Amino acid sequence: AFGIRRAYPTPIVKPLWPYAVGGVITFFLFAKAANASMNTEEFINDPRNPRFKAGGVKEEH
Amino acid sequence: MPQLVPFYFTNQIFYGFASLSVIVYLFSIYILPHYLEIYVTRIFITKT
Repeated sequence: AFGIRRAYPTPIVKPLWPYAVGGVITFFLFAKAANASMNTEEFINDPRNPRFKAGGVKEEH
Repeated sequence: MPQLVPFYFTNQIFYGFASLSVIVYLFSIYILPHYLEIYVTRIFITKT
């Protein structure tokens, strides 16, 4: 299927390493934005918020 | 929709990038070179 026969020695890391670096940077920026968003009024008391697993208590606004 | 809930953002982007990496690897190593070989072979076929 798909004409898979044998592996070709296509260079992967050499041409694509900037994309990998960009992916890592994007991942950490997303994590930062997600953490900031979790602490907003809309999600701070959401039962899925992981701070409750660490023993967090409901916050009043 | 879990896509819009921030608790799942890091999971989504992690597995999204992981899936893309696997697809790029498989296509670059196995699938696309096979078609390149077919096209090159056709170019160099000559009638006698």
